[in-house]
Amino acid sequence: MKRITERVHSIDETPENDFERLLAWLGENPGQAAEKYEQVRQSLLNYFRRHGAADPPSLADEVFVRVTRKVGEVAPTYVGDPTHYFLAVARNVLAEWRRQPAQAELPQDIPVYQVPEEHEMKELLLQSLEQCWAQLTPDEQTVLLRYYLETPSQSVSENREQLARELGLTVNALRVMTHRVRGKLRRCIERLAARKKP
Amino acid sequence: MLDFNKQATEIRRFLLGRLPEESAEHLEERIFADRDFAEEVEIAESELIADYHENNLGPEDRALFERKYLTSPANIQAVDYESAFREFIRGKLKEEDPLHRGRLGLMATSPAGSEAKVSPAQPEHSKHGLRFSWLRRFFVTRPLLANLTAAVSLLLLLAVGFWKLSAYLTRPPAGDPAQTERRAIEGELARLNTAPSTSLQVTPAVTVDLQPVQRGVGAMSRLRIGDFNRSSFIRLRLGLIQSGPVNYRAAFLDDRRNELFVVEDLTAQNTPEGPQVQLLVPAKYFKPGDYQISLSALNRGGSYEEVNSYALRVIEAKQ
Repeated sequence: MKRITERVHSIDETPENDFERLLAWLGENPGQAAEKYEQVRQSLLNYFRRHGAADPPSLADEVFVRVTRKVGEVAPTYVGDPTHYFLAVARNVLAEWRRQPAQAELPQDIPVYQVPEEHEMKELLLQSLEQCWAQLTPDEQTVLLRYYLETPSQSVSENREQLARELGLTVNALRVMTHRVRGKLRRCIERLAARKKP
Repeated sequence: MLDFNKQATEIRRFLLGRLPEESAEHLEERIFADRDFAEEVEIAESELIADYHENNLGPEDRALFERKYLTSPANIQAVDYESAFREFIRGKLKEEDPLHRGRLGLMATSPAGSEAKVSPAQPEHSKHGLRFSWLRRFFVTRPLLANLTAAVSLLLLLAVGFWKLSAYLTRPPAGDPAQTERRAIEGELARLNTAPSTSLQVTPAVTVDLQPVQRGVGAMSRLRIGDFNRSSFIRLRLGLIQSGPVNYRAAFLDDRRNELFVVEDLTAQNTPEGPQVQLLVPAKYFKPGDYQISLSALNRGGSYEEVNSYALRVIEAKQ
């Protein structure tokens, strides 16, 4: 959020009001607004990534900057879920990005020809996973391990059914729970990566 | 907790780019507006990536996946993360057996409306007391025989344990990512070269005729591949001096004679140019360099014997 306000500050005279208006548009109270902001941000990141954008965070920021600039005139008369407006702006941003000259992309190497830098990145990622794994609770660790467990007597799906029964959950609820624990790991890794950036 | 099971097929088609544009836009609007649905799409995407790594996608879906997920840095990062996570979990599962971690307590992250139900453990001594009374009687009434039996059993156990340990230490690591990827490549090559319908649907961009290498004779065959045709296929026609109704195996080696991948269950065909073994290989598997193809035939003993060796030089071509 800080990055968005800094960019808006550099352009508009009353950026702080616009950003407050944006949050007010997203939620009735600060808690709701912050939650909705994160939801929209994640949706934007996934949207740009799934459409092949090279730098989803930059494009997501651009969407927030544009919406924040326009919120004063749009929000008072806008009918419906604000997320639809964000998506409409995102489509424009994506279309503009596509019109830019394409950068050359190298084909992905197969592992037997791994260049050292890719291997080092993987090692760093595994180290980050190890660090973040330690921050999970023992139960969270156990659920993740058992979710991916395959034994000679039971397949992965049979193990998951058994785990769901033990936890008193449906298999789908277990699936969602596991995804959220994985999300915790992923956010930890992103925080570590952000700290390491110069 | 909402169950989006019925939309699983539609979500997968969306992720692979198979939905019509209007349906895809409608689904995207739902992702933005419905938090639970957005989460479901994220879960479905990680399962799709997992299916790719486990080679569980059909040829069409695999091609669509690679076209979409292996052509942008952000998507490649997502695919790589899934691979690293799976390798990490495999490593953890080797370190410990989660079934012996103890009971699961109540999960603070459980979805709303559900709690873990834990059954109390039974007191251990009451279970064991009745079970092993016969063993105690055996040791009390026949001490010499019992001790001899115990000593022999212990020696046998040590011998088996030592054998298993040496087998474990010398086997290739199951979770080796290079091995996993090699298996995926060989799976794709097997489908391409042994399933008649698959090979018929593929039109190779280039055909290369290779003759057996003879010491000091002839120049190395050359193949030009550039970035512009990396998604295409190469047909290799390996010439034979003579052929028989046997199965052949082609092993691809690099210039240091490291085995890269193998294609099995190939058969020879009679052509106007003589007997040949033909095979299709995706161009993306050929980086610039020198390759050797070792062709072996299955003998009556059930093992492969090399019959010919072929050399190939791959050169980077500019469009």
